[in-house]
Formats: sequence, C-alpha cells, structure tokens
Amino acid sequence: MQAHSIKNTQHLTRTSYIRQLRQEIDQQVTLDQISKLQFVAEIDEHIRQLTRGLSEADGCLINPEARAVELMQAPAELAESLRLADQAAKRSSPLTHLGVSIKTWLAFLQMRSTMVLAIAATCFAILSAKSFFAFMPMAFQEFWIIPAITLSVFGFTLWLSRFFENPDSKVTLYSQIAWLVFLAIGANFATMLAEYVESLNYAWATPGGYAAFVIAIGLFISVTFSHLYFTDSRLRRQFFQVSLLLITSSFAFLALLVSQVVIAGSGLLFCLFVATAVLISQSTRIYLTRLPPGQATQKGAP
Amino acid sequence: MNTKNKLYQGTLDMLIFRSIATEPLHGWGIGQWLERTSGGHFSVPQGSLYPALHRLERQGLLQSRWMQSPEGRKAKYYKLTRKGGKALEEAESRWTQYASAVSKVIRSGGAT
Repeated sequence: MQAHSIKNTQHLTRTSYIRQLRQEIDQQVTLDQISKLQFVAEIDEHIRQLTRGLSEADGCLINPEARAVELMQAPAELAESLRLADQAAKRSSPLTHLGVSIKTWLAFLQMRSTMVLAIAATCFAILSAKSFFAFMPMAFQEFWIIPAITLSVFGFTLWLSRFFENPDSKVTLYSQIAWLVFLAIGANFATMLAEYVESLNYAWATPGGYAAFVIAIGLFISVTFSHLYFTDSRLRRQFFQVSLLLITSSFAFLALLVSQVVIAGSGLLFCLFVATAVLISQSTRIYLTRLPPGQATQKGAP
Repeated sequence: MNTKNKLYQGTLDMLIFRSIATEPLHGWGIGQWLERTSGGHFSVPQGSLYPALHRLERQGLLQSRWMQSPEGRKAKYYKLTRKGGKALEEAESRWTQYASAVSKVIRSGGAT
C-alpha cells in the first residue's frame, strides 16, 4: 500500500495533492461541503507539519515539501478511507452523525454570523431609508436613489474595514469599487423593477412590486457577498442560496413589522441606519479576523 | 509516515482517546504523541488517523474546534466528549483484561 501511495504522489506538489484530494472526496464521499473542506484543510495542515518536521530532521533536504507529499497516502485511497469511515459512523450512530453535520454548519454560520449580521443590517438599512421617505412629499418618494446610497455606505464601510484589516491585500481598491458600483446599479435596478411592477394594473401590484424589489435586491447582495468572500465555487453557490433565502425572508418579516410601526418608528429607523454603518464596519472587521484556513478563503489574502 | 508496527484491530480508537484525555490536540499532534509516547513503536498513517478522527467525531465521541496552533496557524483540535470519556474507560478496561489474559497464557508455558 505504501509503495503504491508513493508511486501515486511522487510528482505532486502540495497544492496539486490537495486539489486531487478535493476532487476525489467530491467524487467518492457524500458528505456536506463544510466537512469535506475541513477534512482537506486538516490534511493540508498535516503536510505542512510533515514538511516542517522533515526540514528540521534533515536540514539539507532540497525539497522537503515534495518529500512530504511523497510520504502521503494517494488522494484516491485517502478519500476511500474517509468514505468508509463516514459510512461506518452513519451506520453506527445515524442520529449523532446528522447532529454533528448540523453542528458543523451552525459553527460555520456562527463564525460568519457577523457577515450574516452585516447583510441583515444592510437590508434593514434599505428598508429604514424607504420607510423614512414615506414621510417626505411625493416628489421625494420617487427619489429612489436612497437604496443606492444605503448600499454605497455599506460598501464603503466594507471596503474601509477590509483595507485596514489587510492593507497588503491584492484585491482591494478596484474590485471593491467594482462591487460597490455593482451594488449601486443593483439597488437602482431593483427599485426601477419595483416601480414597473407597481405601475401594472392588477390587484396585487403593490405587494408584487415589493416582492420584485426584495428578490432583485437579494440577488444583487447575495452575488456580491458570495464573490467577495468565497473562492470555492461550491461553497460560494451554497452561501448564495442561504443568503438569498435569509434576505428575502428577513424582508418579508420586516415588511410585516414596518407596516405596523412605519409612522411612529421611521424616525428611529433612520437613526438606526446610521448606527448600522458603524455596526457593519465593526462586524466585518471581526469576521475577517476569524477566518480559518482552507475554508472560505478571502480573495487576495496573503 | 510509515506504519512501523501495525496496531491491533480496534486499538487506534482507544489510543486516540488516550492522547486527548488530558488536553485537546490536532491531528498531527495526536500522531506525534502516539509515536513519542510509544517510544517510536507506533506510527499511525494519516490515511488511518484522519478518517478515524472523522468517524469518532461523527459518532459523538470527540468534539472538534478550530484553534490557533503554536505555529500560529489555525488547526482543528479534538477533545473527548463525555461519551468519549466513557468509551475510553471501557476500552482501557477491556484491553487491560485482554492483555492480562494473554500474559497469563504466555507465562503458563503451554499445556502440561
């Protein structure tokens, strides 16, 4: 087995080994994406430690990393071992297995809760701004630039916090500005779409317009966040779905609340809008300091 | 990492439990602890260790958490759950009885 493993790994670098392992696990193991990524991250760390160990043991070793990879089990075999282990666990304790899966996801979300909070705060800020302008004369109510302003403030704080957090990041200014413009365009598109739907002559035009707005804005925010924070395409897709769901459901829930308190509370809501910008800045900073390796990797991180 | 001496079936779980009985360790740390503590007798290949850690966690015997390693990198640290602690006691008790029985047989010198 060992000789076979060496044969299969002797020309691999750490990166290509990890890539192959990820592919093999994807093909062979039916496990949630987070657990798969965590497993791969553990193996990656193992190779790093092994490399370090080899360097310390033999300082003259020319390429300790290549040697470490040679000593690893072939990716296909490792994936097969994981599959068998997972099956064994499922068979012996199906409920616990499911529980751990859920806990893994919850831990993952908890780690990113600040980002979820930031998204919720953005949605809340948009809605607050819209509610506040319900008090304004009709001409101002048509001033749909408010969502764009809200998102721009959000984007700016996001960029600012990232900039301070990681000044060496290679993705900084241009991509952040590009996403900021994307968000602003998205907010305007969403409001124009909402206006169009509301202008149609049918019974449910107003709620239809609101729904169109929510879905459009949800799509734009989800696309932005998933591309800003996730390099792994599968994880990005999953996050996109969760984010869209969260945004649309939050908007739906808030719509119910706001319809009751819009007159009394809109002033307060606008104040909260300002507080939101600060909150986002803080929460994003905290989030960035809690990223583990090998999971949702931050683009351009050193 | 070579398998210097193959572990008997079922002993890997017990050794993993013992390695993290006092403090949480990451996968690499567990492997190193086993090798060091056994005086170099055991060296568990990663192909057995990490899937076993995954299985034990999924069975609720271990709990994991991403923490900072001494090298400053984030690593997945494992610790025993209460269920894992009981499993360790049972496994050690079974193993002690088994080893003692085998020793008695060996010392007996064979049937007379």
